[in-house]
Amino acid sequence: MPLHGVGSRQDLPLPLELVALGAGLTLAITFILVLRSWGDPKWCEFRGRPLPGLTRLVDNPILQWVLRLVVLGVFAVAILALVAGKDKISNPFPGFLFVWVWVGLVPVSLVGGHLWRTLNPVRTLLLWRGALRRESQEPLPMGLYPAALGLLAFTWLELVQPDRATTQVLKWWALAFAAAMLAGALVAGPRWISSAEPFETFASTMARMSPWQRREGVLHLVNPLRHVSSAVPRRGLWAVCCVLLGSTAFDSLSNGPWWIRTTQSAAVPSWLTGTLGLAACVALVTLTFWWGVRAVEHAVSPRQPLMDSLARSMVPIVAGYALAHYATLLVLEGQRVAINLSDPLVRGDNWFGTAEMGVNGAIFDYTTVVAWGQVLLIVGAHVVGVLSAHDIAVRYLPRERWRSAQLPLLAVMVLYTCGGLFLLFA
Amino acid sequence: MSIDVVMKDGKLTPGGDRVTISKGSEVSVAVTSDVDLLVHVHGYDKELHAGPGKDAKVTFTADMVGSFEIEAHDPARIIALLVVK
Repeated sequence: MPLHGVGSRQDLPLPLELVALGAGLTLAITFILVLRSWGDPKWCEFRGRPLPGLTRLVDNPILQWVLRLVVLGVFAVAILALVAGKDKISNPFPGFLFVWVWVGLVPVSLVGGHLWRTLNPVRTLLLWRGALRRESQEPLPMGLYPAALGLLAFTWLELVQPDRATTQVLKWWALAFAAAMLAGALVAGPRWISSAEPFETFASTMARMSPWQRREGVLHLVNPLRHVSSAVPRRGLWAVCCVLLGSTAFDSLSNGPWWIRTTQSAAVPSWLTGTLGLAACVALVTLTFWWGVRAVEHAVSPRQPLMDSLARSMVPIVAGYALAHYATLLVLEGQRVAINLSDPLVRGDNWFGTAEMGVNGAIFDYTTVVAWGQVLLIVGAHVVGVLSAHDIAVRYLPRERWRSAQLPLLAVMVLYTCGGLFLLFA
Repeated sequence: MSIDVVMKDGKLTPGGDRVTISKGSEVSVAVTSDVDLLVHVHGYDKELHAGPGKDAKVTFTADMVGSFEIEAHDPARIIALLVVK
């Protein structure tokens, strides 16, 4: 969180007893699952209840266009605030970007599935290049690696860039983003968006946990665990997940008193310590994940790469941690953005009637509920991740190797979960 | 609970400590500085302007629960994290 701008009030750190309980439960559940685990994969294929009525409603072009235009309109107001609004704390753009878009896409995708792919204003603006056609939803052969880089750049902006809550700085980043999307779409076609647009990739990754899946054009209601374990992994999914998990971990770390005390008084400038910290967190997640996957790959014959396949089981952990970490920010600062959007030029207007409203801070009266919710989300996400990882691994592993080969990966997942809990406590 | 902020010869103390108090307690923040310094308590929105020979002090009741940053401007540093339970 920047020193000013987004975030005036934060959650209480988790009480130690709750962290210990969460960590203990994590270990116990993982251990039990491994001991009692099954040999045949349960969630390898698609299965779901077809919903033709819902499909017709969702695919209605009028409804889609109305929603697209509303989203485009909201983005237009935000961009107006960015380029023409005064660079003051009440400018809505930083909150819009870091809270409404970055955090908001998580619940939107978990509940709405691939909704963002349909409503993404980047696609609407590039419709002349075919960005609204179904074929453009397939990434290019290079996979999601460009998006992973884009996400790394964005998280650097979110966590390290000095003066990141000012329109002065954000203007340049917005320009770079627009240029990269336009240039790529001109050169490589609309599939560039599916390969390189970081926010849509983030949304699509989270949408793997949603209960909606399309098959032969029809929406089906599916079990999210089955969805995440059976949907085809995109090339480079492991890179996306490692960046997301590593950056959320660094966000927690860098807001803790240890980090602040250590880096503030050091002679090293904060952008450097921040860059090193973010890089170290992402590298740590990548190395540990690679180590866990490698153990499975070594026991599989014929040898095949499993980084992307097993990255599917990291998705629940990313989703759980993101929600636990950012939910109250969305509820609190999200309201502030709604208030400030009525005055995008920061000159006293009230376009949508919300400018005089106050932020309802009631959520902070329920700190125990919030703390329990955070622990349940993180532990629950861990359980889903472990179940999914096991299911995917046994598709490839021979019977006699399936316990020993999975132990490193399970240990790594326990590390992520307990690490996440500990960081929320610090 | 009183938090004493001292800026002397470029060194600012405290440098990011966590201070935990219970809801409803009285908090007093006192700033002594040898340069012009602006200290801001987030959430409670209290501003203290201190300077050479001019100490600043504010006392308030911590009636909101949460974690609130107490930070200085110029240089931008986090002084303390006020945790109200």
